[in-house]
Amino acid sequence: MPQARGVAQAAELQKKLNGIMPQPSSGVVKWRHTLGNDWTGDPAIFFWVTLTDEASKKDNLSKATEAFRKVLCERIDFQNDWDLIPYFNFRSESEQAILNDEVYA
Amino acid sequence: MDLIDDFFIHAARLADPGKPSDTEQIDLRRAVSAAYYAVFHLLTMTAAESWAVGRERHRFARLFEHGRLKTASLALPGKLKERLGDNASPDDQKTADTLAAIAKDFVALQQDRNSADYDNSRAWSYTEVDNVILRAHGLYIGWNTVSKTPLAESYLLDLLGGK
Repeated sequence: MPQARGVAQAAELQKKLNGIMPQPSSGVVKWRHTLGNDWTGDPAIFFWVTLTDEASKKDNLSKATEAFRKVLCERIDFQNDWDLIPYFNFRSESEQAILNDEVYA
Repeated sequence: MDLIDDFFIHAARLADPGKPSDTEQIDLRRAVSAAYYAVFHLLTMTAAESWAVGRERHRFARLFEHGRLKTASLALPGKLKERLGDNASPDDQKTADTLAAIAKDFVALQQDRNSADYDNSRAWSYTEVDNVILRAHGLYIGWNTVSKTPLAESYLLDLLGGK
């Protein structure tokens, strides 16, 4: 099976992502990504997004997460251009301060 | 469908930060799983409702497999283009856009559920779980606006894994 373009040309993809840095949408404190495989083994890009505590409140969360996904997926067609399925994860700044996960750091 | 509502209520109860629990991580993981199963059963039970033999509908609903659901959902945008052709009505285009969003959400929820059920190294936060529940609930609301359309019926057939 050929390597996904997003993996084979990761530097090229990184350039595209750098073009969106640093804050794609409001309420985003920090965002990182990792490349890997999803639960069926398909190549995937996982986004780990830290939101402000305000944006993470239940009333604001959908708006903040949809805005981030929209900006990323409108700017980059991960599936068709890079053979990667995008997955998005969001947590609040104060949660990350406690959980301190490397993927979000 | 009472079962679907029950899954959402269950998920929300497990992910309620106002109720401190000694089993917080397990509760959060089960909440993610419950949110996924709300939409899994929503789609499979809707498909089964079209099965003519009433007593066999639960059996019909069990024909669906998670992997095939993912494959069909990933392929849906292309299939919608084929099915709509070049002269889609605004209503059909709107339905197609809603279905494409549903399929995308479903694929994301499958990954969340798999991670929650099998990845013991991952710690979940309330925000992560709220996001999963909100996305599943958004799918449910979207589905209710399009479920009776021919495009949605074709998607349900796709989910069985046929050509």
